[in-house]
Amino acid sequence: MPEASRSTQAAKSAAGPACHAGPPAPAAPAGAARVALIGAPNVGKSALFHRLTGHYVTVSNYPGTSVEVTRGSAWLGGRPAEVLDTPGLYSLLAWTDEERVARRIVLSGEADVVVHVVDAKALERMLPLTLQLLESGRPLVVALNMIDEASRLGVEVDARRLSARLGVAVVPVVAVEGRGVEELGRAIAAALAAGARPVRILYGNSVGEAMLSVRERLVGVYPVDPASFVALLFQGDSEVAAEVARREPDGGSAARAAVDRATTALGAPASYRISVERRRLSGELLDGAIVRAGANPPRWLDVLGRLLTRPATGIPVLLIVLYFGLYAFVGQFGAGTVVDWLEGGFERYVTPFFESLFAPVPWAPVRSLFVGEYGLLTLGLRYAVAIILPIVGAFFLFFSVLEDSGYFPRLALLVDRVFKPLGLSGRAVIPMVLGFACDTMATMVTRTLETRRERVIATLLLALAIPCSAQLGVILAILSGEPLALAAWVAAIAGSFLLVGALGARVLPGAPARFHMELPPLRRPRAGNVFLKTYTRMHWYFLEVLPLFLLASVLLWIGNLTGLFGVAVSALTPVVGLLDLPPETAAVFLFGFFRRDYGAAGLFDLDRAGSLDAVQLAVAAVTLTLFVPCIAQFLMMVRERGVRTAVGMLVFITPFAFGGGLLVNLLLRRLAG
Amino acid sequence: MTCAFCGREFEEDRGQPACQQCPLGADCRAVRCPYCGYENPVPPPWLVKLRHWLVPHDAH
Repeated sequence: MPEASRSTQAAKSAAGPACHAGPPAPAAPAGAARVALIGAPNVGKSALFHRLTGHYVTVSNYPGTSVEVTRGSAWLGGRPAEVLDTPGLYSLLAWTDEERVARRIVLSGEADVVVHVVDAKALERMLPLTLQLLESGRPLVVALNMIDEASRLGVEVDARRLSARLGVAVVPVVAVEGRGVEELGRAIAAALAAGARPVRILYGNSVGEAMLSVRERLVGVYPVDPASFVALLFQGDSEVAAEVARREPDGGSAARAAVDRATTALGAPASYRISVERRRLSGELLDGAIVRAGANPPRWLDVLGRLLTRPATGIPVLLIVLYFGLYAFVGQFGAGTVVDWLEGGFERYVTPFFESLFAPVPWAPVRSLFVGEYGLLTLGLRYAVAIILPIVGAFFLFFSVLEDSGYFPRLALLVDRVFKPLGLSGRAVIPMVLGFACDTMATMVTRTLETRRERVIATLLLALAIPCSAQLGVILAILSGEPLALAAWVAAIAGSFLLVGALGARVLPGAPARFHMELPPLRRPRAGNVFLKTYTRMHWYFLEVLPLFLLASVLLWIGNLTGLFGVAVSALTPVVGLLDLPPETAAVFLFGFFRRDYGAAGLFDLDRAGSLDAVQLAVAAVTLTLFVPCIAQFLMMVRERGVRTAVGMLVFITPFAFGGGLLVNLLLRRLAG
Repeated sequence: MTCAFCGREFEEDRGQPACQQCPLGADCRAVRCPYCGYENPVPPPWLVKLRHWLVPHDAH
């Protein structure tokens, strides 16, 4: 055991008042070395902290923040030390307030020794941060925690070899049992005695040269090696950019220009290239230093993971995934086979049963509320259970498989280049992907995008060209037998997405958004995870859809009784007539404004009734997809983007949707001869 | 919980409940990841328990 002190230490520093309820703690002795435990969440930092410091600790807010940092005192190598347990940190590129505080502790140089606590079971994912910490030049020790669990899983780490390669002590520990903690204490003391030393990470593939070209421009005084700041400048970190501007005599302009030049020279997102290099270097460092007996992750997953992010291979794979997942599984199986089966059940058993149940009711209006044309049971319940639920169920299953495999972040990297001319970055994949599940939810997620310009464009594209799961399933099902109509729909929607995005990027001023992401590993989807996620989403959807579908039926029933519904349909009939669509389609558009999926179910009914030919199906599908978003999505647009922007989008989308339908009608009629 | 998009771990109560701000006020049982903003579905506790009971070593 290290010489752990049982004394407490006051947090009466600039850190603010102690939040920890307990006896006042004595101040840390003068000259106490400061040791910061840094690492990802759940790697055992707190357990190690308590092993190093004993039970009496203080918790205080980090200066200027509401983020808590725990402090305790210890005797390490015969001298007093203050140990800091910091919030979880995956990378020096910080996203959350907690991460920013942990990063500040590293970059401010306030720690005399940094202990990087890593999970020995997931060393591949932890080592890129080790490289970043090494780059800072501060004395570093790696605590290889949970070595026992790793061993049980067949993972053996050669700490000595890894230590020799990194040039710092790597100490295997089991923090919860206290094993290895004494050795760790000695290693910390040795690192303290050795002091800070510059370390240069040898990045390859032109990344090293690019970083060096920026590093040479930094002439200010920095508390740690400025190399740490360089990588973050490339990654577009605004806090670090401000810090560099403050420390450089020219306000950081030379460094900024060097970053821009180097980024152009690299020809790919620099942040991504740096991240890839760090992973490559981590792999080299671990080669031969880690052995996974019987638990080796399949190499083919690594290879596939790389292929998915390269346009030449990633785009064909994306098309295959969309064909089998969306078209074959959701469109043909979910919206075809399963819906046919359930619809048959409703027609043969459920509807006749309800009709017989309400047959004795003498008042026709009351009877029609339950079993009429727009009846609660014959329309609302049937739409929700027999049409929409199997479609969204199939979609959510497909979605959960992709989600659990780790495909989505790779898709974000793949489309980052495509999204750039649309004023978006790969990060916009998150709302776009979620939009296929629910556009309302996705509109809310646009707030996580970096710039206002990006948020506005993403909101507009979600409202215009991203169909929700039910709408997508129905459209794929009704167009699956008509290849030309399906091609026209795909071309119209994809064309609208690209055209409006590109126009939006030209009209709206602003700098292009940057995108950086650490990729989680690609993995085989687990059946349990997929089931849980699919069930949870279906459960939510059904609970949301059923009451709203029933409410829609009641509103339609009232509208039918009062004649208001007929007036609205009559007003829309000339418009749908312009598109060569039958008058019944006007009702479907009205349904669609209430809810996209309700409109989709109405279109499905029209197709089943044989009311539409192939061209009309394509025209109706295009117009309905582009048509104004449902009420819930519109309210979210108002909330997120403001009334003026939301109304402006509505005013743009409505004629655009009908114009798009008109154009598709003209083109297809001409092609049909 | 682990974010299904970025793979980072966060406490469930550190994520923002997504449905609180939905105009429908629906209980979609989704929690937004504080790192990337992705909305993660949160399975009902009984289902999670059932899964652990059926497959004790299968990590969620």
